[in-house]
Amino acid sequence: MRRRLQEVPAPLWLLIALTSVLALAWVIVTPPLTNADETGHFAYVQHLAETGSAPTNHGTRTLSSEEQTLLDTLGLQPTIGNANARPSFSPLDRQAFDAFEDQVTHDQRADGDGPNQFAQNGPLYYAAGAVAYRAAVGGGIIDRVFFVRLLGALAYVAIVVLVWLLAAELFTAVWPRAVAAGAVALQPKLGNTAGMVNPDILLVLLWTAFALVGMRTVRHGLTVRRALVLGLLTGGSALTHGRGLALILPLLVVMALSVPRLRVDWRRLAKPAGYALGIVGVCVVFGFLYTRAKTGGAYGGELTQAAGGASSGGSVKGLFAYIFNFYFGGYQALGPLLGAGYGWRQGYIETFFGSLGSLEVVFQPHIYDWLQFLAGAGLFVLWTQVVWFRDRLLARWREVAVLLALVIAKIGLLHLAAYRDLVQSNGVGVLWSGRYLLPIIAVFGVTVAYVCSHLPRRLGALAAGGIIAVGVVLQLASLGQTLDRFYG
Amino acid sequence: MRRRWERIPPVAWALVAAVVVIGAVGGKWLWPWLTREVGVVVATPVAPARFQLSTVELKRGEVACVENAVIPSDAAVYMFAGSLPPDVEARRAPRLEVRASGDGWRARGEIPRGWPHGLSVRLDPPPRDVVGRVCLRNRGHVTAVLNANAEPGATGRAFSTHDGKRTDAAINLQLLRGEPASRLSRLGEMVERATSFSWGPLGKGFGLVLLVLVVVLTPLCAIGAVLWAMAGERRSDGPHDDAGYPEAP
Repeated sequence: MRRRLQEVPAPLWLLIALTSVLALAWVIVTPPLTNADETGHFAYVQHLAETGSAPTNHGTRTLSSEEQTLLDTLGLQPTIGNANARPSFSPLDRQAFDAFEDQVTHDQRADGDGPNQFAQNGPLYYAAGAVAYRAAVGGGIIDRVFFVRLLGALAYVAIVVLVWLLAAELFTAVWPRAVAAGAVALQPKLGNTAGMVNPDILLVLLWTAFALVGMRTVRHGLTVRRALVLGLLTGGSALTHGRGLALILPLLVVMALSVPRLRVDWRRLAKPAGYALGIVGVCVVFGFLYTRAKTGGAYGGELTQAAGGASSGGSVKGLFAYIFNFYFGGYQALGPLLGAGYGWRQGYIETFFGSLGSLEVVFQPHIYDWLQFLAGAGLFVLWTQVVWFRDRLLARWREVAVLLALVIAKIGLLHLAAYRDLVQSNGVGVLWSGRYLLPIIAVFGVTVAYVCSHLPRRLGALAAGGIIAVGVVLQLASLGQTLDRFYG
Repeated sequence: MRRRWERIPPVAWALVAAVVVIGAVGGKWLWPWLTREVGVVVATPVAPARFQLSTVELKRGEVACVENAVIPSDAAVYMFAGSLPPDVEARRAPRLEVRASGDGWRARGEIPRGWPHGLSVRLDPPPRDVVGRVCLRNRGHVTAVLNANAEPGATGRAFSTHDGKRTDAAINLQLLRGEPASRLSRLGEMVERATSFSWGPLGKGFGLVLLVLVVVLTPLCAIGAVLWAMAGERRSDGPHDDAGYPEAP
C-alpha cells in the first residue's frame, strides 16, 4: 500500500490536495438545503436513515418536522432559488432553532414519509447518504446535512483521480493527464454538485469509473474481473437514478469492442459477459420493482418532471424537430417550437459552467460569451486535429468509440427525456440542466487534454496554461459569488 | 541558429499563459468586484418575488406593515420597493411615514415626497436584535403601489397586514447596514456566517484557514500540477512524441 502511494506522481498529489480543499469549500459555502432539489433529496436520506424505509409519493409529510423547522426558523426556505433573499443570521432565530433541536424527538425526524418527488429514484445514493447521516452521531440536522454532503466531496476527489487514470490510458506523457484532471477539478458546476445532497455526484463517479474500466477493457481485453466491475458500475448507475440507465449502451459497446481482443474465443467471452449482463439485469429489475413499489411508476425522478399535460404522445418527427431547434434555433417548418429559448447555449454553456446553488447564482452574460467563444474555438481546433490526425485516431477507433458511446448515450437520453417532458407540459417545462452532463465530465477532461497535447509544442503549452488558468479564475469566482450571494 | 524564443521551454510558455490569464481576468473583473463598495444586507424579512410580482395598493392614509420580522441591531436602512399608478408623475409620489417597533424599541422616519432616494429610509437601529414590525403610512394624496411577494414559502416568519388585515402577499422589505462596504473588507464576516451554518466544531478560524487555502492553493496546485508534469517530460520537438497513445499489450 505504502509503495503504491509512493508511486503516485507529484502532480496528481497536487490535484488531490486542490480538489480536497475545493470540495470542503463547496460543502460549506452554501447554507444547508439551499441547493437544487436538496430539500427533497435530504428528506429521502433522513427518512431512510431514521426508519430504514424510503419515502413514497403518497405519504402525509413531504419533509420531516425537523427539516421543515430548520427551513422555516433560519429563513432557509425563502432563500432557495431567490438570489435576493438571505438566511437569518440573527442569534434570536438561531436560539429558537437550537431550543427546538434540544427537544427534537425521533418521530419529528422520521415523519417525512412523502409525498417525495425523488421516491422514483433508485436507492443507492440515499443508502450511502443514510450511512453518512448516521455517522454524525449526536449531531443536529445541520451537522447531518454536512456529513451527507461530505459523501459528495469524497466522490469529487475520486472523480479527479479517475480522470487522471483515464488520461493515463490515452496519453503516454504525464502533462496531458494533469490537464485532463485539472480541467475537471476546476469545473465549478462539478464542485457545486459535490457540495450538495444530490445523487448526481454518485452518477458522475460511477460514469467516470466506467469510462476508465471500459477503456482498459477495450485496450487490454474483457476479463471476469473487469466484467464484474463494469456490471457493478452499470447496475449501480441504474440503481442511482433513472438517468443512469443510459450507461447500458456504453456497456454493450465496450463488450462488443472487446471481442477482437479475445481472438474471437466465444467461450472466453461468454463467461465475463454473462457476469456483467447478469449483474446489470439484476440491478435494473431490482430498481424497477423498487421504484414502482414506492411510486407506482418506475425509473422516473428527474427523467419525467412534468406531471402530465393536456397534450400527450410525441413523434419521431417531433423529436428531431425539437433537437434541430435546440441546436440551430427556431425553424418552425419542422413543427412547433418546443422549449424555444432554451438551446445549446443554455444547456452546454450557461448551466454547465454556471447556474450554481439552486440555479440562481449566475455569471454576467459577457462571462458566458467568453466561455462560449472558448468552447467554440476549442471545438474548431479539435475538429481540425481530428481531420489532421485521422489516421492515428482511426488506429485507435475503439478508444474513441468508448468515449463517443458515453457522450451519445448521455446526451441522447437527455434529449429524449427533455422532449418527452416538453410534450407532456405543452412546451413549458425544460428538463435539461448542465448538471445532467457531468457524468461525461471525464470526456470533457480528456478532450481538453487531447486538444492541448496535439497542438504544436509551445502553442500546446500556452493553451494548457491558459485553460487551467481560466479554470482557476472560474472556480474562485464561483466560490466567491456563491459566498457573497448567501452571506454577503 | 535557433531563435531565442525557441529556446524557451514549454513549461515557461504555460506559466506565462496562466499568469497573463489570471492577471487579466483578475484585474479586469475579480479585483473590482471584490473592492467595489456595495450595500450590506443584514436581513431580508420579505425578499422580492422570483417569478410573479404581487402588489399592495396603499391609498391615502392607509397603513401597511411587515409583522413578526427579525430586526437586527445593525439594521439602519429599510428598503421597500414599489411604483406609482400608471398615470401619476414620479414627482407626485406621496410622502410615506415609516415606523418600526419591537420589544420596547421604537424608531420613526420618512420617505419624502417624490421618493428622491427610492423607497428607502434610515432609522435608528435597535439596541439588540428584536422581533418587531415595520409599518408604512401613506401621508400623501396619491396611491403608492408597493411590491409584494405571494409566492409559496417566500416569507419565512414574517407576514404583512394592510389596515390591520393580514394580506396574502407580503410587502418586500430588505434591511441594510448604514454604510456600504467592499466584499473584500467583509470576507471574514461572510466566512463566519458560512461556518455558523455548517458542522458545529467548524468555527470562524477554520473557515478563515480554508479561505486562505482556497485562494492560495487553487492557482498554486492547479497550475503547479501542469507545470510539474511538463517539466518532467523529455525534450521533444513534436507533440505526438510527447503525447502519443500508450501501446496496448
